Amino acid sequence: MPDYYYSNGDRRPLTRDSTRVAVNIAVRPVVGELSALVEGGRPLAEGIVLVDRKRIPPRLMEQLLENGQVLPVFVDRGTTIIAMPEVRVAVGKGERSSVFKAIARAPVAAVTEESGDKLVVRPASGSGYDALRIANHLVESSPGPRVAQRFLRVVSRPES
Amino acid sequence: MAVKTLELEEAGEEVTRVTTVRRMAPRRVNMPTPARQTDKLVQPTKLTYHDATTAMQVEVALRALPGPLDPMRARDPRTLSVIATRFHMRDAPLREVTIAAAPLEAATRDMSSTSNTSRPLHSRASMVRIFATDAFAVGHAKREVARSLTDRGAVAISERGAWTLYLAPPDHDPVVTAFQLAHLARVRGALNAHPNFIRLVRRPTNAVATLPRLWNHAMIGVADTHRLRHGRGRRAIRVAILDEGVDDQHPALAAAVVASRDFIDGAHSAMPSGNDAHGTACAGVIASRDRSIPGIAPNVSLVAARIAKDDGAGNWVMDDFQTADAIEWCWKVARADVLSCSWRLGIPIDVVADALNDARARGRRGKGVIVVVAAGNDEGPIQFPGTLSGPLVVGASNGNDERKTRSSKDGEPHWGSSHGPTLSLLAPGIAIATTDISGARGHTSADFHDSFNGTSSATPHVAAAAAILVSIAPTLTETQVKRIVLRTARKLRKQVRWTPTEGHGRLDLHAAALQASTAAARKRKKNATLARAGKTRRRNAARKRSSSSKLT
Repeated sequence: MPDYYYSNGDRRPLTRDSTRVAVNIAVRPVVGELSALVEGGRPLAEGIVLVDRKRIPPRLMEQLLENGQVLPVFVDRGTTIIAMPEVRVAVGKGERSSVFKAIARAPVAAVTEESGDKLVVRPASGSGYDALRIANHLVESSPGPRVAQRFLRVVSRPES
Repeated sequence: MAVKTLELEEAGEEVTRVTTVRRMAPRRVNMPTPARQTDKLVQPTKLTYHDATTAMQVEVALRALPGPLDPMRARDPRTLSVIATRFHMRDAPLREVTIAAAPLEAATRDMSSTSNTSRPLHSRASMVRIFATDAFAVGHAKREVARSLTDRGAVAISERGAWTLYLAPPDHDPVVTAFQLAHLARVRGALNAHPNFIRLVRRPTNAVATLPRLWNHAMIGVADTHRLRHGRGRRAIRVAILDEGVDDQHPALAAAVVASRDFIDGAHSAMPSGNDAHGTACAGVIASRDRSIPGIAPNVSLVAARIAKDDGAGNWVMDDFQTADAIEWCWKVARADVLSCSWRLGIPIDVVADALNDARARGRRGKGVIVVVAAGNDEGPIQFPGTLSGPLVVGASNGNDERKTRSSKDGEPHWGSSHGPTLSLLAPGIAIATTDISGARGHTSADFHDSFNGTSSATPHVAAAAAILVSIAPTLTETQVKRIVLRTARKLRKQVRWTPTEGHGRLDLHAAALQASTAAARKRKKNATLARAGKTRRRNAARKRSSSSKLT
């Protein structure tokens, strides 16, 4: 499980939140135990709920992990950061083929979609961990293109 | 020690110097109940305490808070119950205090002050409500006094200088016991002893209250700037507010908003949800078209992009990709000339950095969009995107024209302007009068409020300034605008050069606008000269042609 990411070519550590995980409820129907879990959680963006790790029974956790519904949560100076299952790659001229090769060699299977001059890469598993692994792999294998992991953040509200 | 000081602040109301305590493990061992030790204690029905400064006994009456508190009401920051609920969450007893005798000022002194002589914090007019808890403070006391208090079950929770803050034992009425024990400490020889009050006071506090409305305009020279050609901005110039939405139906903003988009919920309008009034406040600082509370650049247009939403717990939820998409939309589609970003993301991310850099490099048909970002309000190091070297990074100054810190004398000890190597300059950031969401929602039930605070409010000052500069001189590049803003910034007292805490000084809009006007005039003169030269050239060429045709 990677606990780092890259920004401006620099490897930056991420501090994992051992008490909470984010659950992606947009990909599967919310039924049974998951329904109760979601009700007690904290909804963030559409389909993403922040829950206490302790509240997830082991069997349900296994199931959520298997379904790729668990998104890792990190903390940094009061900011909560959730790794979403999406990576964006800005491809420059002449970098295209090397990027596609790097995606093909990624440690986990990925689905790539072209969006203008960008590539959107999603792990086939739907896991936030896998997205982070893909992002790190792309930076480490082809340093040219700009690669960004999608983070959802909960930041303290600005003064007003 | 499990003690933390909380500075709670709510819209329109404020609790100052509240000391909250995580209750420590019980230390009561065979403690007699207070009822059995009343030999030297006052009766609960007539509670008094001694105010050392006025040398007066202050008599107070306590009354319980009404009924069980509805936790849902705590979501509304304008209700008192939010305060009460927060204190009840730590199981702290809370009773409202009515001053029965003695001057009100005496009861409203800074009870938690570490100094021997307490000072008045708030005027009579600003006082709303006072609450007593189970905490009391004892100053300049001998060991025997401390021992007699702990023997009666009081727990010392904090020490500051000669003062110790105690919690009364959790008996049947610890609030009353706190009064009794404070009295006991005084009787036993402590120089100062009194309950530790929580005060709910109306904003602005006394220092801020002395600031005239629109003091920020006077400070940076808005009126003089408005007298310049295009000094109020031009409609063709667009400032993008990337925030939690802008009320584009607001009477003072509706005419200014020319493009609006919600990147959170995908709607076509960036209308804020609930009481999310931050973006509307930023917009008003720039382009309010109200006569009594005008914006700094009231003729410019606004672009509203909603990129954050409140999570109901005082935080913003933001998505990196949505933020990057919004930045791109602002300059590419909505043709914004200036981006105003009163937020921070924490850890850096390339996708947002690239979007901002793209705007600076490619926006305004290659002249570059001016990006303005807030430094932050925790008086710590600046965080991303303020860590980028390209944008104008804005800290806050106060009414005394000094950097806003926790200790600066402006009645707002709960926040300070952040610092770092990328800080560009300061701008007014305290008690700023601006627009609120129209109707009942927002900070207040009115359409305006005058308590917009923080580097969030300083940032739109600089964004408005940049918009005025490009209104006056549309050919200025992003680099030139930044250079003018920084070069004309007024150095603060004792400041001689750029510093990581004050940047280049405080925004001087009028000086910057004058420079832009000079640049624009120079450009006009050059264009006129070129035009004249072209005309002469064409005339000479025509003459030459006609004379050669005559010859043939």
